[in-house]
Amino acid sequence: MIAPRVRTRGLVLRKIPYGESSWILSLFTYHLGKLKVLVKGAKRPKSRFVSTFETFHVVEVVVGVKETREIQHVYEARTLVTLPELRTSYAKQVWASRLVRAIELLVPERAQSRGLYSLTERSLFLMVKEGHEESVFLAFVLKALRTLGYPPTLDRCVVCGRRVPRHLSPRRGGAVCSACGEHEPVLIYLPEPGIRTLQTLYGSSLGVATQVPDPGLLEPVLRYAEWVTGIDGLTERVLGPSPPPAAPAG
Amino acid sequence: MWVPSSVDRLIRALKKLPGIGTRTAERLVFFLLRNPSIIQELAQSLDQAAKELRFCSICHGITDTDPCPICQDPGRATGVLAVVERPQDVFLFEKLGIFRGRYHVLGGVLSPVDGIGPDQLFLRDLPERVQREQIQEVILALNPTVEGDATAQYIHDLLKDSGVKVTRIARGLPAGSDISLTDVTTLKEALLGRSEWE
Repeated sequence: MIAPRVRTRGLVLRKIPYGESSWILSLFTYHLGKLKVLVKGAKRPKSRFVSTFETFHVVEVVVGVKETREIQHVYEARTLVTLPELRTSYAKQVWASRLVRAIELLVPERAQSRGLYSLTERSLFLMVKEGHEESVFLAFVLKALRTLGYPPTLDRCVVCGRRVPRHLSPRRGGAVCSACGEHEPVLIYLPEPGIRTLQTLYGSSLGVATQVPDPGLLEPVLRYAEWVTGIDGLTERVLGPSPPPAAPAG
Repeated sequence: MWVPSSVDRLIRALKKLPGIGTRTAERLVFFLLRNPSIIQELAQSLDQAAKELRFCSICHGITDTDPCPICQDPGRATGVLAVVERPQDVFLFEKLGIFRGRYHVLGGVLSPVDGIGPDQLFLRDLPERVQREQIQEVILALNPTVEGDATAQYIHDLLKDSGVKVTRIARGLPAGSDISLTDVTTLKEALLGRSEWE
């Protein structure tokens, strides 16, 4: 039976060499979720796909989808967005890679989530084009947790509902105040004004994150995500290599 | 299916090579069994390679002497250093027979998505080498991918204060190709990187 062909927009997450001249690509797509596709001969200089599939490129692909097949076939493809900033900045590539690894770990294969796809693409564009990468990334993680069914409560203490929350409790599913936090087996401490910044990033539109100075909360938020999702090693695997230190001003 | 344990071991070993699956490994093993002289030759070559091959402590290319013959050759001290991604890229450039400079093998490119940062590559010793060998030009001969370009930019920044001229190999249409079938990115690169007719 001929596999039905689906035209969709997608982000190239990873390229895995296959044989002499082919790639197996990990794509995150709008219509089909995360999937692997084989692009035969794509490394050859004369291939029509030679520069279509670069990591972090947004592409339009026509994929033949066969449920029983682990790796799908690509019939047509064209590049939609190339993000040239990633070619000239290793630091930006580090942040884009964190986003890619978060998607790889958080999203199950073939689980369709159009909302999460749109969130990912927009987060990537904002991180690359606007800066404040950490704030945008944190907003992405918090909003992604909501989409994946782990919405964090950040505006009040999850336990007493009244006092000002200060820390994160994965068991309670959000922020807790210092008094209630004393009884929690796992408590993730946030430096001031941590929780208020997270409230802003979580409650506002994604674009607002580009106005929020990077709060230095990457690790605690990823630890929280690791606990609530139960994905072992998520923090270390998402963090990966550090970006180079920023050049001193002036 | 029963097979002698030595045959099974050989099939398993061959399957570890890139591009070789079970069927190909089996075919190779049964070919070797019919040609024992090749087995001897192969075994000796593999043994010798395992004992003698190493990485050059200067350029990080593959060699059987350290430093490698290219790094030792006084005739190659031309002040030009080609930075390449993999040891096999050195052999590609050597095949051309037109490059008389030296090489610096990075051992990969920056690829944070794969966990490869500057510390995983032979990058740290590059500025010192440029200084020590009085290099006047560093040619970045890396793949024109997102990762290759970001690595090239990183090296450019790394060498910014050394006063060395940093160039990169040209990119554009492959010989014998057809413009109408060329993708937009390559065509754009070719147009932007055009050179005067000589």
